[in-house]
Amino acid sequence: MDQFLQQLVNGLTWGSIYALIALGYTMVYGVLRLINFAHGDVYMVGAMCAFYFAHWLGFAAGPSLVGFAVVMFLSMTACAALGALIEMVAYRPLRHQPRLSMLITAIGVSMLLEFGGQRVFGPDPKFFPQLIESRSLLAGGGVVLTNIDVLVIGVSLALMIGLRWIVLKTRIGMALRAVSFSYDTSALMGINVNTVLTCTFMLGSALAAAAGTMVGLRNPKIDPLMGLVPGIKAFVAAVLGGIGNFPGAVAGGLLMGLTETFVAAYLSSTYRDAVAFVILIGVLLVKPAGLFGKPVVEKV
Amino acid sequence: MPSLVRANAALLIGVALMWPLGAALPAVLNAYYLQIIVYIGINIILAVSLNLINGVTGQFSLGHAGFMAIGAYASAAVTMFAWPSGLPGGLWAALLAGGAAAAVAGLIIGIPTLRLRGDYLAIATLGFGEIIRVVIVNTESVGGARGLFGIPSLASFASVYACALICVVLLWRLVYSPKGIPLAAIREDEMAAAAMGIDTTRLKILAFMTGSFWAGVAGGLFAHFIGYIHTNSFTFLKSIEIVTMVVLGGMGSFSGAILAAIALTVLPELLRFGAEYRMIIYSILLIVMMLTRPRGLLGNREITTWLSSKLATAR
Amino acid sequence: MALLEARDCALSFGGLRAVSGFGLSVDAGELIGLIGPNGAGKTTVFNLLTGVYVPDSGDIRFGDRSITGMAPHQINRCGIARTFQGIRLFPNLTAFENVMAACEHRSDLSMVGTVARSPGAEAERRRIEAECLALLDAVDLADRRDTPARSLPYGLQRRLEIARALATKPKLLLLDEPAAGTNPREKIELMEKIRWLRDDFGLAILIIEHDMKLIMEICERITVLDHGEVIAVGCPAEIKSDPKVIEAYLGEPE
Repeated sequence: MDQFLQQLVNGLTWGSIYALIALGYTMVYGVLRLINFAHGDVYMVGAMCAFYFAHWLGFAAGPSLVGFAVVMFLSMTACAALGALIEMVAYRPLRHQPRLSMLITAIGVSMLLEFGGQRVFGPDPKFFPQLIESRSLLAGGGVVLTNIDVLVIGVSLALMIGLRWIVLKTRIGMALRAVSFSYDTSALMGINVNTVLTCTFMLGSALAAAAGTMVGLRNPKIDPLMGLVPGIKAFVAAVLGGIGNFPGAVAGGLLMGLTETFVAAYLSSTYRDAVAFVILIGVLLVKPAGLFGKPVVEKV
Repeated sequence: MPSLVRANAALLIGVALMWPLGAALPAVLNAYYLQIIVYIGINIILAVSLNLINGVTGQFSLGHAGFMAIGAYASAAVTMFAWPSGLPGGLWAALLAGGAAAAVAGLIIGIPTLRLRGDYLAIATLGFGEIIRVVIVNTESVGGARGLFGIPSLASFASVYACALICVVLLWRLVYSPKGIPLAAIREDEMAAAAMGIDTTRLKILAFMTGSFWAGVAGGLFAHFIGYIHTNSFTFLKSIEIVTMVVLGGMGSFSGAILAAIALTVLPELLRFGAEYRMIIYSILLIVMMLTRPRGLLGNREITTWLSSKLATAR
Repeated sequence: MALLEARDCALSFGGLRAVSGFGLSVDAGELIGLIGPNGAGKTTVFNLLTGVYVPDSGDIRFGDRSITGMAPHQINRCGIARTFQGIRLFPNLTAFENVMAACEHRSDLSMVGTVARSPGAEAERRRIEAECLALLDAVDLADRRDTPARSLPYGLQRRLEIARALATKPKLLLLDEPAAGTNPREKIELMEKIRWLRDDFGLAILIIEHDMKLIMEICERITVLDHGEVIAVGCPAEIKSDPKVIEAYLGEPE
């Protein structure tokens, strides 16, 4: 029972991280129908930015909640700018070209961030500063629930609620939903599609940066290739939930995190990576549009 | 039979010429250049076969490296464990076995996934590619996580380019025949294709199997050229690299896929002078090439039509 | 016996009844019109007959077998071919290739034979090519054989779509607004072409058209659809004077 609860905690923590990244994939896919391969690397840049901000501002010296908040905010801002830049340089010129060409530039950007990251940040793993001192909140018993776990889950939840508010209640959120619904119609209705797309990338990248910062707290070893695998998995999570669907991305992320930790704990850790895909394929076969997605009926 | 030989005379001669050519090359090129040339040949097979699936039939697959892995491991298993040593023809038996294994895997994977469209298919094939990799890592009899050592080095310039030539010519004949045009029709408009009596599911699976077969052959050649295989050679990134060749060349264009396979194999080597900047320049070039030629180097045309249209506008 | 016989077909999308109680019978060689105001369900009927949609209830028979629930490609192989209201050619393929794509299921060309250039396969390929060229010629498109379909003018695209449908060797051809977007002169040519196709290829033709004049002139029988239900069946003269039809069209200057 203890082990079960422990895996539940681990799974939820990883699941929240996946969910945050998956939201970025789903948002971009919703408006551009693009698998933004560079997204996982933006998450890496988020972790790296947090690392450097923490050192420059002196928060690396002593743990503090304020330090964490400031570092995460700065990292989110930096990555939002990076996301907007990527959209403008690599995707905007190709918007009216075949969709696959944009996919290739996405791959190019992803590689650029990875290899550029190895050059700029150095290829070796870095140790993320202890911005928060890890404490166990549950005394006794076999279950370890740290304040970091609670923080990760709590902050993720807050960010998701914030995103939901933006999407449902603000003008830009409404525009975003309109563009997701129909790109061409929105443009005809006078929505500034460029602004919407820039904002979409900024929001998604900021969430990824938050995820990167929090991963740094929990698994302090960060390196320029750290975004690759979580990136793919988060995208799979987004597809699992029904791509383009926000609650779906969150559910998919949590499901992904939970299955992975449980499979690693109870079956075999070597099959951990494969199981995610087995579930994905299973779901796609039964519900091709994902768990929460609506099937698209082709108009004849 | 004689007429069959006559119809294929040029191809057969071309294939036969690879051996003297392969014997002559070491006199003019050093081992490093030869190795790159062999990699180009393997990548041509991969790019052209994926072009059949992605470019011609329009089914976006992100798992080509997985089929290459199956071919590599299956063929290595044949030469290492099954084929009697000393008996000639081991490489060809291995390549056929590798191709067949990959084709069967393509069939098994294609039946459920080809119902899915567009990006969903991409993700499902990506998933399968990863599953294949994880399964191999966990199979101790083929070396597991250590990789498979001691594969006899049977493949050479001649066998690689003989296969590449056969692959390109046969797939070209297929695509530009009454049997292949319906594949392109599926890419253009699947619903209309079905309304014209085309069994889209069957043809998609057929194209998928054919493409997988050649990916398997390429994997077999790769295994028997370097003599050691590890799942790290067949990751998602390898699949991406092959997709890049197809898209960069121009979807559906054979000559484009071949050109891109050459360019993307040579480019990292040319950039070696830059050492640590090599891959950075590579990725920037990739982005710039896509931005300047978003429909690929040749659009979806072959180089012959592309050249003649260039000449026509020049005149 | 009727070539095509649809009985009591119904189809709903969610709560919306698109078609109900639909019946239609087409004999071999007949030229039949399907008309009705916008949104009456005409194209939905085509989609039911060609297997794009499966009816919730009812039965569709073609020849001596039921085609209800068959996949679109199977229905086409039974002998029903169609064109689309919004043209759906294969845009990047040439006119010739568009027609050739539709020959696929009728040839026994083997894949191995094709890639090995076996004499049998080569002969079959030449036969198919000649046949495709003849079909292009039949719709006066032979000189545009190498033009990509997307670069053809609108009227020619419509004709190419007909040639492509004919390549599947149908017994029944469904034309969805073949005259839409064509000018008066082209319309007259088209009418002649449709009659000629029927006679020369021995086809039955079911045609959806908004141009009343065209329909009344070439069709032997007309089925009128309104709100997904058949409100009248008869020869052009009967339809013209049918009070229900007049009511359905009231306000539409046809």
